[in-house]
Amino acid sequence: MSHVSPALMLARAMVRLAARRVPHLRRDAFVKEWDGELAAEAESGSWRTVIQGAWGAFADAGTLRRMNREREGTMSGWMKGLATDLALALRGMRRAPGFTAVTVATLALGLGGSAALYTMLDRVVIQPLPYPQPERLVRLENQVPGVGPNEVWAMSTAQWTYFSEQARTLEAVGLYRASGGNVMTDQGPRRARSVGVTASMMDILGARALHGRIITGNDDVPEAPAVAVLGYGFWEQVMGADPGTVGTTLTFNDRPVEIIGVMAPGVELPGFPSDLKPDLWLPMRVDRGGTFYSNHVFPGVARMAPRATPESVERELADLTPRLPELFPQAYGATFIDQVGFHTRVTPLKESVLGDLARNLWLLFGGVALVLLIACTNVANLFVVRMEGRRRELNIRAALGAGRSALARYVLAEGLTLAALGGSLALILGQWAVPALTSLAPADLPRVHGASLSVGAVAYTALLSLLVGVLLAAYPLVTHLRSGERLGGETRQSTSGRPRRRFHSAMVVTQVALAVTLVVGAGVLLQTLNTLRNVDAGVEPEGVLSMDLYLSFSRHGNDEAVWNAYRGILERVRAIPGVAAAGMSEELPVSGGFGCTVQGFEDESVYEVLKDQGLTTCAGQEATSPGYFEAMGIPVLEGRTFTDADNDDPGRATVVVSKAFADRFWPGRSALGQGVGPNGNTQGPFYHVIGVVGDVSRAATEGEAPLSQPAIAVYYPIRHNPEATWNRNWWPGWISLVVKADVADAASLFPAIRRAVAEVDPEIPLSNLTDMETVVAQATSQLAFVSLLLAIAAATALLLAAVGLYGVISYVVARRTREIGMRLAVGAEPGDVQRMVVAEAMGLVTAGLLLGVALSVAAGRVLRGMVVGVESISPAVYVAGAAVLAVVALVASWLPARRAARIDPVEALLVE
Amino acid sequence: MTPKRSGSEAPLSYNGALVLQAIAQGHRYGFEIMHQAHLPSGTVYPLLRRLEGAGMVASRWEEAEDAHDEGRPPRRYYTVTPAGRAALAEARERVVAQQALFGGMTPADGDPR
Repeated sequence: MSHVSPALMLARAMVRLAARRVPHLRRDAFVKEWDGELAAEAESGSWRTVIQGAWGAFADAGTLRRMNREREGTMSGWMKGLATDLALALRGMRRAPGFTAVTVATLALGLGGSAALYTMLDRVVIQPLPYPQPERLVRLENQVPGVGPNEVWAMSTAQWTYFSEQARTLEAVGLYRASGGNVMTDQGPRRARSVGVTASMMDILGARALHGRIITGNDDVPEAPAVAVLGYGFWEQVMGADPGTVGTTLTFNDRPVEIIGVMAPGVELPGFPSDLKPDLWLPMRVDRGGTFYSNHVFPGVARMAPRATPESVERELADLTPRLPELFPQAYGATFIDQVGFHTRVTPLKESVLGDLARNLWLLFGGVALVLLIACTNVANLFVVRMEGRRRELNIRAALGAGRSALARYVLAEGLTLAALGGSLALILGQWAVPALTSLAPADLPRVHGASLSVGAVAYTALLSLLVGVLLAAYPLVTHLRSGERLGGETRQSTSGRPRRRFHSAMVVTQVALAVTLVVGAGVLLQTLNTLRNVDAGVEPEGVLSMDLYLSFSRHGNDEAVWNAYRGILERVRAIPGVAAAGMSEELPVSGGFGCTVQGFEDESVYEVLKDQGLTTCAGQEATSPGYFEAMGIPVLEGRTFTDADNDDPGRATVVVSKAFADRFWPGRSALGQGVGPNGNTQGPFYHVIGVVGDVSRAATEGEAPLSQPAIAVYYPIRHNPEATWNRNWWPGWISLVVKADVADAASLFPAIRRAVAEVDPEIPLSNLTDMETVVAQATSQLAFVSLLLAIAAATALLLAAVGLYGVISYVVARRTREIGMRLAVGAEPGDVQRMVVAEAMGLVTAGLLLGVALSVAAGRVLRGMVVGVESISPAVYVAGAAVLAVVALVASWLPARRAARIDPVEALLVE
Repeated sequence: MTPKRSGSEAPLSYNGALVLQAIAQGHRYGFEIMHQAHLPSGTVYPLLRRLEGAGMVASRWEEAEDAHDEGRPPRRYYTVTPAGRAALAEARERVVAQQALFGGMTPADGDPR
């Protein structure tokens, strides 16, 4: 190419002019193509064809521009552009590692908490129970408002017989009852957890055998031979996982039982703690033709008929119930049903299994949602600042012909990339956090244990990340697009400064408010926990050991033999160095439900009082040894407690009652000397009250705050009044031994206690070795767990709010460097500057605190509705929550303020 | 939003058919097509872009060495894709039928030399 003709030069200039309309990505190729063609044309054609041809470049450029816009307009074209922008965003983030690290970590904390809680919620609340047709399973239990407002009785065998035959809304009705028995194994005597079940339970649970067979209807009749199915864990640990066990005979409670099968792993009873799986499953063998008693001790589960609802079942059972006295006269008195308002409640089984837990988990889920919100406001703040820094880039892009949607896509790509990185880190965090958190859960929490991050949680986190990404992009998008049009690429300062500052302020106020809410919420739970822990359970649990003893009936078949064994054990235990006191009772405070056994009264005016109040005569009836009240630290309020003489001479017929018992049955009178008949005996001879002891708490039922309910207890001696023939069947062969230690390490006494028991009878197994402090702590363990999780959420919120505040104030200081420099130059003291910055920050914080306290009041109401035990919320909790936040905020704003005070005025003024 | 364009949906315009036919006959460069189809560059180039966007033609850059040998910058050349060939066959029938209106004044289809 020696020379270039003027025509070609002109044509090339035209092409370059046209190229300005071509989208920049295609511009180079456009110029190159036209140059090539024009050069070739210049060789072969005339100057006129060159110029004429070059005109086409304008039409070509227009077409390319239109096609580009059309492509942006189509979804697939837009997505293709998004991929490019995502790659760009990733590259940009690598260039800003500080920003990326802070935002990604913040989002990961927020999203990770959500992922962890979602996993628990999904596993515990959302997933169905592990039974066939779980949605048709219901819990049957009886409410007896006449006995007590929260009194719930399990099912009776009479109800089971009647309902299984008559209720058309129920397809199957099952009963079970956990019990225990002594098993002789190669390693000595052993306590085995047994569960008696009706054959219908097998069907309801979807039980199947790993070896042998499960319990069938033929096993579940009175005349059938005694058989048992081994629990998987028992078979594995005690029987050495030997399939040959099936068909052999086991000695259970001194009686031979044929092992017919091994239950497949995973077969479980509803709501049974995972660490208390049955060792033996036994048919209940209810005699449908025999005599029925008011034995409301069997938890009942039923499968509803197709199309039945809990409400329709409840209606049908309500229609059937009035006939109970007529059909089972021995079990139900003629007026009983009406008198106590006896009726059967039908609850979806899952609801019954979860109890408060579902509500508590939803509450925590709400808590982590707030943390996520705070994390998002933080990141949104940083994101807006970053987008501001890239304003020039955005303007250039706009000038290059990027349409609105292309700009939106670019900002969206940045937001999505951040959210995706945060979400990925959150999943890694969740993978670790879920097992860590569930390991902190109390053992009796249903369905929580063994949780790991679920597929559902991954999907949930992905979806949440997407949402967060879009939300992050939303604000800068809206403002930039609006101002971008006005700007036209020229002025880029301060016009939109005010709304942006308002945005940052709003974000700070929001996160402070949310953090206050969470901190106060956690404070409320901790306060409640503290209050409940300080509730006087009526005992002195320090240094008190407890364990259960089970005597075999064949060796200690009457109350005298039982007493002799117990006295022997107590004497030996008391002789152990380090033992201060020892005693026994059938039920432990706090963990025991104390039941409801009907009592008789010598003074018949008691019945009149009760009738007026709509109450029954039932109470927690417990055989109790001498030394029990002393070992447990239950105070004697009146009279005295048992001595050995009360058992050695059972004709004394003495009884000790709790204060609640005395107040209920003899209000305004002294209980001492009053006569009581156990097991509903109203004929006498009566036992006479020798002492009134302090109340102890009984186990709370659903809806009751832990430790809040005193047991209405009546304590009988181990040996019965020989003149009373009616209590022969009362054989107190299972009892809790309570030992008060006066050594620091109480648990070190267990081996000596075990030896003492073995000296009396080597076949007595000990089980449930624990101490009363643990028992009392367990009563509040679910609340403690929920409080801990909420406290973690609140601490995270506090940290994030501090980081957010620090970030915003630093940013504001950086933007005002020049102004601050000027102030310092004209004589402001560094201290003034520092105060000014802190004061401005605290202005925002104060607004946040006020809003936060208002939110907390609302949140407190929610807490009261969702967590049993939260009563009134003390104003001190609000003040403390706000104070914690104020201090954290002060520190977070003081750091950038100090930096502002150290600005060198000369440098600051030279910056622009 | 502009409706989506694709070769299979929109029938080829008359000019589009001319451009495609020119390429099919081996005229591969923009200006060459222009001369052969007797169409101005302001028509041919937009058509090429649209046809390429619709997947009926593909383009490639000439080898830099070949162009260098001829002492000019490399040119972009176009070829007809299978989708383009199908559209062209369809268009050809249409065009031949239309030309029947003029009583067969033009030769039917000129095969490439």
